[in-house]
Order: sequence, then C-alpha cells, then structure tokens
Amino acid sequence: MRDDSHKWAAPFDVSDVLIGEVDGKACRVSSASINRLSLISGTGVRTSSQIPLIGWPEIAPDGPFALSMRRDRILEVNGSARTDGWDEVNSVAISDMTDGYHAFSVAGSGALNLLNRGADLFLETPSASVARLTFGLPSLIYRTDETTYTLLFTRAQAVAAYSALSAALRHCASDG
Amino acid sequence: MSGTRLTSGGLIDRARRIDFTFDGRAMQGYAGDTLASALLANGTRIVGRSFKYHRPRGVWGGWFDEPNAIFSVKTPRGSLPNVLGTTTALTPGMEIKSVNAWPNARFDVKGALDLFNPWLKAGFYYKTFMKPDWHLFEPMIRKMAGLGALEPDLIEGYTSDQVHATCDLLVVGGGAAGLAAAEGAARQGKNVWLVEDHAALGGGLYRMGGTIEGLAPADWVTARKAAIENAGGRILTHTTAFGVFDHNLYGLAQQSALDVAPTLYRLRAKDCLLASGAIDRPVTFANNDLPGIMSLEAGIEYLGRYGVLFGKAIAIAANHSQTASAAARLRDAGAAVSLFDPANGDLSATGRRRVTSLRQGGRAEAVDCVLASAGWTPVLHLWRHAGGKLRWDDTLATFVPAQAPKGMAAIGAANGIFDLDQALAEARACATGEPYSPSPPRFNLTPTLPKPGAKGRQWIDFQHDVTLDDIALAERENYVSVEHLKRYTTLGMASDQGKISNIPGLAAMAALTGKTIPEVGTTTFRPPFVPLPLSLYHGPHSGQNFHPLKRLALEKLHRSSGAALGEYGGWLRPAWYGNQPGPDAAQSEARMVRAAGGILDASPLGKIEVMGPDAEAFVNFVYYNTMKTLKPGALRYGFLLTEKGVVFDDGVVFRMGPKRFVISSSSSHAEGVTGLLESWRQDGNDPDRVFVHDTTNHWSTVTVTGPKARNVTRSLGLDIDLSAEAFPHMTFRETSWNDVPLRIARVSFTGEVSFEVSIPASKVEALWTAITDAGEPFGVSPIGIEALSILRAEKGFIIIGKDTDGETMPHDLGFTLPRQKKSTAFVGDRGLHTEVANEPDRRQFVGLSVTGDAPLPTGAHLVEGADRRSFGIVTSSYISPNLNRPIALGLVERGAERMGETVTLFHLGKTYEATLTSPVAFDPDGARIHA
Repeated sequence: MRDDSHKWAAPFDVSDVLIGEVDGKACRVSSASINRLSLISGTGVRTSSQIPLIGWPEIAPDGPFALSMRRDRILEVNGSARTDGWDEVNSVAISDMTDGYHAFSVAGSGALNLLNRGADLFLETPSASVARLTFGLPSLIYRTDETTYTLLFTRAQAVAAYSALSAALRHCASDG
Repeated sequence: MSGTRLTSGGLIDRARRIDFTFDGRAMQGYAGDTLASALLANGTRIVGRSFKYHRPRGVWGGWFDEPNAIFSVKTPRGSLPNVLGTTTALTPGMEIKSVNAWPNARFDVKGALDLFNPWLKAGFYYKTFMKPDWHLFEPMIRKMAGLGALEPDLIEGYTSDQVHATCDLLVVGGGAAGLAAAEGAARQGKNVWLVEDHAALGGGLYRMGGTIEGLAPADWVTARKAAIENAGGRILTHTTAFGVFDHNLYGLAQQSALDVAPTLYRLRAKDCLLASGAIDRPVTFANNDLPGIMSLEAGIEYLGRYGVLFGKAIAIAANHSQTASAAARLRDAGAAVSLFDPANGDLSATGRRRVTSLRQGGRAEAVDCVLASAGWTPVLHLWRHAGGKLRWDDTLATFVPAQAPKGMAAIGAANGIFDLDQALAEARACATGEPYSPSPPRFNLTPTLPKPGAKGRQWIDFQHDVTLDDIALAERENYVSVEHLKRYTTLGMASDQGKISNIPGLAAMAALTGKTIPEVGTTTFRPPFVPLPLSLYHGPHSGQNFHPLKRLALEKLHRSSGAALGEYGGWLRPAWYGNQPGPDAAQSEARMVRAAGGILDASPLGKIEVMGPDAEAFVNFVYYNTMKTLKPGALRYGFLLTEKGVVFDDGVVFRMGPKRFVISSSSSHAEGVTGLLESWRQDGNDPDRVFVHDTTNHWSTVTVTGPKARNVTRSLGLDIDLSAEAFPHMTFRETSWNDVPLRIARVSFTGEVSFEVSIPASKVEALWTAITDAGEPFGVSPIGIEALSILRAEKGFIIIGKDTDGETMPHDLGFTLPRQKKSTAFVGDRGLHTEVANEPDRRQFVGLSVTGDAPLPTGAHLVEGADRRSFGIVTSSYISPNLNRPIALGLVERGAERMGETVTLFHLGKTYEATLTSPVAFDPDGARIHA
C-alpha cells in the first residue's frame, strides 16, 4: 500500500502539441479529432463495406472510411450512426468505439522517421491491416496525406503512447 | 620508428595526436587507433591478468576475437567497465585501467595464485572449499572473481536511439567480398544496406599490402563505396550485426564513441549476404599464452591498419599458404622473421612476463613476438542464429557453411573462400545472380590441432584459463558432451564466447574420445555476437515508458481529489483519497461504505461483447456456469476455466439480447479474457457465427455502493425505477443520461446495495462529478481500491490470482452446483474429472478467525508436525473496521470439512493461531446486498 502518484506524469491535455526534428526533418505530434468510430465484425465485412477501405499505406479520404483491421473486422471512421449489437440484416457485429480510442496526428517530413523509432512501418511494405505495435503498444496507423499519419491507441494507453512519442522526439532532438 | 610505431602506413591520422594513460602511465596514440593498437605502439606487452591464475596476458587478436585486452576506461563523461581494447576507438583523455590485477597488470600481487594451479583445475570449486563451510570462503572467492569493477562515476542512464528499417539486401561485412557484393546488388536497383563494424571499410585488405584489381586497397575501397552510394545503397560503419531473429529481423548496433549510447537498428532484410570474414585459430602449444604471442592475422592487421610493428624478432608459427606473404610484409616493415611449421613437431614458448624464445625439437629462436595461426575459422554466428547448418571441412580444418537458412548466403572468407580473386568473383555472382564457376581453391594448410598429453601448459581458452589438461580432466570425469564440457570447464563462456577457443576445445575432446570433431558437435550460437550494453535494448523505454500502466479517463479528477495512485492489475488507480496514511484512510473509507456508501472508479472492469447467432451457445460453452438460461436484462456471476479446469477469471455476464452478451471480466484480466474467448471462438466454434469485441476502453464505470447508494443514484434523474422490487440484484438496465447512452447494473463486490453505472468514457467526468456531488449530503464520497479490498474480504469475495493460485478449481471455492446442473460441454469439464481435480486433500477456500488484535501476515503458512509441513496459506488478511477484528482468507487442505479447527500458522520465524471459519465474515445472510 503506497502512493505512487509522483512516479507517473499526469495525463496530457488534448491541446498539447509536440514539435521537433527527427533526422533533421520537422515533425509535429498533436491529438486528432474523430467524430465516430464503429467496430464492425463479420464474414466478408471487408469486401461489403460501402465506404473506402483503408489498409497500409493507403491514404484515407476526407469523408467516412473504414480501417481494415483483420480479415473479418473493420473500424469505421466518421461513418453513419449505427446501433450496437448483432445486425441481422448484414450479419455483422457492431460496437461503438468512439471513446475507446485516442487519436494522434503525426505530421511533417520527419513523421515516418519518428514512427520508425517505435514501429515496423514502411511505405514499401503494404499490409491489409492497419494494426501495428507502436512503442510496444497496440495501435492502428493510417495515412491522411503524404506526410501525415493518424495513430489510434486505446484510451487507457494514450498517456503511455504520448509519453513514448514525446520521449522519442526528445531523444532525436538531443541525439542521445 | 617510435616505439613500435612505423613512421608511415596504416589508416591512422598522424597529424592528430591523442594523449591517454594506461595504469597511470602517460602515453600517446593517434586518431584512428584502438586502445589495443595504441598500447602496442607504446610497447605495452602486458595488458591484463587472466581470470583464474592471474597470468600476465598480452593482446592476442586484432578485433572482436580478442580475449585478453579488457579494460576499465574513464572518459571525460565517466567510467565504463569491460571495454574491449581491440574494438574501441582511442579518444583524447582516456584513462585506461587493466583489470583483474592489483596494483597493476605489470605487477599483480595475486599473480602468486599461478603457483597453486595444480589445485585449481577445472571444476575445482565443485570439489574444494567444502570444509568447514563453503560460506567461509565464499566472500573471498566472490571478491576475487569477475573482471573489472563498477566505478562511482559509471556512465549509465544514457539512452540508445532505436530505429526500425527495411531493405532488400543486407550485406554483413565491408571487406572485399562484402563491398563487391553490395555494389553489384545496388547497381541492379536493390535497396542495399552494407554494415561494417570497423570505422573504415576494407576488411583484411590493408593487411597484405599490394593492389586489388590494379588499385591500392584504399583507392579500391573508395571506388566501391562511391559506387554503392551512387546506386542508392546505404553504408553503416561502426556497426555490428549482432543477431538474427524471427521473420528476417537483424539486430544492428552502431557505436559512434565509447561513451555515447549506440544506436539500435531493427532491420527487416529480405535477403542477407554474410561477408563476415574469418578469424585466426590459435596454435595450441606449451606456454602459448605468454605476452608477445598473438594471432598472425592480428600481427599483420596492426601493421597494415595502424602502422604498428609489434616485434623486431618475430617467429611465425603457421603453415598455410598465406604465411609466406605475411612474413614478407613483416620483413618489409623491418622485422627479422623466422618460420615454424606447427605440423613439424611440438612447439613450446619460453619466457616469464613476455615470450623470449620459441622452440621446436632441437631448434630454438630468440624472439620478442610469436605470430601463430592454425588456419582460418569463418565467422558464422549469424548463419547459425538464422538456422543455417555447418559442415566440417577436413582440408581447412574448420566448420564451413552447409545448408543455408532461407534468405541468407555466405560469401568470401565466411564461406571458406580465402583467395581474394575467387572471393570477389563469388561475391559479385551471388549478389547479381550471374553465373559463377568456382575455380579450385589455392589456399591450403596442414591441419594442426591440439594434442592431448603434450608437455607443458597449453591454453585453450585464454580469458577463462582453460587448458588442454582441463579438457582432459573433463573427459576423464565423463563430461564429454560438448555442452557439459563447456559448463564444467567454462570453455567458451568468457566474454569472447569462445570465438577462438571453441574449435581447439572441440578438437581436443575429439582426440580424447576418439571421435571426429563433427561428432563432438558445437555449442549453440546465440545473440548477441558481441557484448552490448543493456541500454541498447531498452532505448528510450525507461522509467514510466518501460512498463506503462493503463490510465483512467478520470485520473485528472482523482488527482485533484487528493487520490493516492498505485498500480492495480496493470492500471494506475486510486488506492485511497485524502491526506491520512494509507492504512488509516482505507479503514475510514471501508467504514464509510457500510455506514453510508462509497463511490468507486470501476472503469477497468472488462466489457467484452460477444455477438452473433452462436453467441448464446458460445458463452454457455466457455463458462463453467450455465449461461444459456440467462434472460435479457439479467446478469450472472460465473467462472472461466482453463482446459485443466483451473479458474482463469471470474466475472459477470450481461445478457443484452438474444444474440448479444457483455462479459464483465475482472479488472486486470480484460485482455486475457478477450484472448481466451478469441482462441475458443476459432477452435471448435464457427468463427463466422460469433464475434468478440473488447469495448472496455469505450466505457467507463462508476460504482455507487452502500446503504445510501440508491439515494445517490436516484439523484441522476434516470428514467428507471431504482427500487429493489423493480430493479433487483443481478439485473441491469439500459437508458440514457444527458442524451448519452448509459448502462446501469445492480451487482456488488462489497456486499452492499450497489449500482454500477457505465457511460462512454468521454462523458465520465460529468457523471463522476454529478455522483460525487449527489453523494456529499449523504456522507458518501470516493473510495479507493484498498477499502474495496477490505470490504470484499469481509464478504469472502475472491480476487482471482490473490485468493486463487494456479491449481484452484471452482469446487475448491465452494462452487459445485453449477457443474452439477450443467448439461452441456464446457471449457475445463474434462479437467474437473481428473484424479488431481478430485483428490481429497485439495486446498479449499476458507476464512480464518484470529485470536487477538494482530492480523495474520498474508502469505503465512498453516503448518503441522515437527517439520512444520504446510497444509495451507493465508491469501488475504486485513483488519476489518466493521467487525473490529482481524479477518483473513486462505486456501487450506480439506478446508471445508475442518471448520472450527484451531490451526497453527508460521511466518518468518513467528507462529500464530487461528480458527478455520466460513469465508463470509460480514452479513452472512446477504440481506444488505438485496436491500
């Protein structure tokens, strides 16, 4: 029984921004806003999606799209509202996960270099899934333009992710 | 010549002088020197003392194969131990200290230990120091063991950069073969990485002088480097490929300076060409460890790369086809060179603190240096890491690559090709896929392997002082397996991991046992190839980034409310609130809950949705309890078991609808339960008809518990009737609050009326504020996990992993009825029918009533008999503020039938007494929970 509060930095604010250079290239980390996330599972859910399906390293469009997670699972981003539960018509399971993830935007010409500090993530290695381990934490990573990446971490691990991104950025700036 | 430094030649920069000290003596070197080359250039013979006998030792190798030149080094940034002198670049101001010697390497008081060598043979510590007691000798032996010491100004806390990268082709080794291969592949458009552990590319090209393809070695290297980089290839010098891991992952460590943290590259390479070269094997002869005896490769490497001529009268003990050219190179540099063929008879060196002569039969030469080579050993550690096979080559008297691992090929000396032109042709062909017709090898040697029984002390492992006699002793004592040989004699266990000692050791054992060397076999090659600092592996993942906890959506509010936060099941959670000492606060909070109520952040509770046409059958299958009869709107407590029938987790199942369930697992097991469900979903069930979503992170949960819980919850103004009749225990409702979906359940972990209110996490701050505001007038305020632990223990509610262990089954906890009622198969059913599961002496869950005011120590054993046989253990123990006495829970053999029995407990030398009781100490009828 002990008070370990001081051992753990207080959670960041969503308005906090990290700016730095990685390998001499600019990089900016900030929280990103997402209106709705719907976790949808079902046989053929990846092929039946009516909105663009995004894997790696495809660039997500401005409107609704779905992140491909595994052969029978997608995460709909900013799609239409759905009812949680088993959808008899489409034979899919649906769960609202809007509050289940925290999104970070990592932008700039050094963004991928920063991500490579913690993730096996290469433009030349495509994948049907956006799921990755980043700094040892489960994450979903997709691109929103050529040099901007959105990272989704579970809400409970967002502080750890922010801390890891911050440490990596700081470390790159100090060069060890 | 200054000392043994030549006035020209080598890759050092003579314009940049570097001052340093060795054992307090001022010395000078040049930029481009290693510690070892600088020491040799200053005429230093003895660089350290051996591990066991404190024998004087000099530099033996030229690079990573060095067993002796290990130092403690102080730089302007601090000190580092275990620094390998042959691979570490000299920098200004270094203070180099020899290890395992006092006061210094030249004169070491403990050198007298060598006189006792007949009593210090291999495994002596298994046979001696037994009487009167090992512990009498242990402190002294431990003090003498080890190489180097940690200084107060030790450099630590530096962090390595860690980079993930990928390439088409990784070429390991920047010698002639590696450069030629990398150039060929890069010209074909491949994404090529070339790594070289030296500062300069070129490998062994600088040793022999002469030209390569019409160019001086440095010019040839410059041309290859430019071609590779112009074609888009990447070259990393100072970089060691230290290991191969799953899925073509190569570990690369790039070291820029000794006191700067190295960079770790995690490189995914589609293919790898291993051009890691070969190292010299020692010749095993009497007194072959004397300072002044080094490998032939090292002797000409120091000459070619660093401009250091180590001796003026040099004997070369070698017979392979490159011996003559090496001798010529040394003669050209000004040394008198005599040649000895080790195959012509036993060699023996003489000298005390340095070699003074080499003898063979009746021939004796006065020398100040012996360069020995029994042949070349390809460096194939990465090959073996990747699963490649080895083949013994009788001609080369060494192991060479056999069956290749997927995506890897060996070229050049690493492939047993020691002729430069052949290596270049092979490397280019291998990189480009062009046809290649190997010509017959010109390299030849007469094998010279250790001869057991030969006279004199013949050293096999220099650093660990393993001699040929030690190998023979191991064989006599039947430690003939190569793995046993290693562990019994410590052969190959030094920091060089047997790079030069393994083959002589294996050859000696083969000779002793009448086997061939391949029959003796090799030990396992494991990463890392060279010693690396641990900071390389953790990188920035230190402190709170090392094992980060999960964080609550309400953490900021908890902090502002004065919560003491601690880790509980991987989450950072409030332990208690306020300024009181923790134990006092927990008592107050637990008392408050029974008197009025408490508010708990229960967000970590799992919320795992199971959906689909087969959801009902699936949940019924994975649970010990019958779940198919559960009605929508109802909850049921139950166990998830492993296949062995052991309790994996407990929790509550919500039935949301005909084809939708929510499993509320215990807080620390949400991910484990999700994994368990996923694995059963895909094994024995139709994965297209049932799906599992872990929504724990989407929902946050606030629990209101206690006699006033209903009053507090009512203040939320929900559109549901909260009365006991309309909303009974173990049911739930779905509604909304401020237009936000809300789920409210009557389920309790305190034994009091409780409402678990779940809401999307982004709205939980508003909910928490509303509930805590509402609680204030009723004397209801937040409580932490410590109070909850007391409250649940008063009720005999278990915490999985605390009150259960890796053998606890449901019937040990008193839950036999669900199994009797269940008519369908379930996970763990077979395990519950095993003999072990039905033994009469199983440990069963009980309460312990304590005599006196002192609580039992958690972990105390229930003991019986003179030998204090343990027949149980205390799993939880608290002072109950509501019963005003200590309470405890435990697992006890035949506990259920021993109620009322007085037992003795033992813990850390103290004995206690207690009486076995029901686990339920408070409100045994359960009236309060249903109120």
